[in-house]
Amino acid sequence: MKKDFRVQYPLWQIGFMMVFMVIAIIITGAATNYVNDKTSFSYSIQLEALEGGIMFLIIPVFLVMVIILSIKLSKYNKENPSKKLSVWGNKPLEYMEDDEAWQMITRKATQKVYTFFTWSLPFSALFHLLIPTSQLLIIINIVALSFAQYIIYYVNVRRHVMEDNE
Amino acid sequence: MLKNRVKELRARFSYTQGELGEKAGVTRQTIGFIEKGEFSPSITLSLKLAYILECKVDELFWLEGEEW
Repeated sequence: MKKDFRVQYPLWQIGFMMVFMVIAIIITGAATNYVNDKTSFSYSIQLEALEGGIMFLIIPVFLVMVIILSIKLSKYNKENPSKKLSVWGNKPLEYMEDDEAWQMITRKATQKVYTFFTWSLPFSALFHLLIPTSQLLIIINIVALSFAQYIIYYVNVRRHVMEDNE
Repeated sequence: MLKNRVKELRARFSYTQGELGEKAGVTRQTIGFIEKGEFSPSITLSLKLAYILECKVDELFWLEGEEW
């Protein structure tokens, strides 16, 4: 069960969050040139050598992750034709509602995530209200909240899976 | 607290958790959680399990505790 794609899916989300974070840090730190007048429109980003190198590496990493995730999703759907998953659905993939016990596990994990957001969102708003923030800090905050959300979900689901395996 | 005899009756029929789960239309994990008392099944699932294990629901599940 630990190898169930849906148990591992939050880890993929965390991986994508990390990649997004690196890209956000580089882009917000780069020199940008934005032109929008009557005759022209352009937007350019100028990166230093180090940042350019990191972007040069991180974009293939991102593409490889997308390809591996697509393969895993396709494999899961072939093995489970009656409960196919789609990344384009409105329901998060990590929900495991095959039957009653998994509904319970999902509900418990989701409740903890909800509790986390109930507290973290007002504190985040207060933080940005009181402390002068940059675009980057707001993005880091959003990524950190998402990161924590998936960690809470994964840890709670995995705990039940571990107990079940023992 | 909800107590049950699922494990005992399952053993009597020599079903594995997976086999019982398959007959009841749930996963092996659900049977495991029920047996450990970590999860209270719905009325529908309780009736299915009682039917499969050839007993009445109140022979399979009962409440234990002073408040009851």
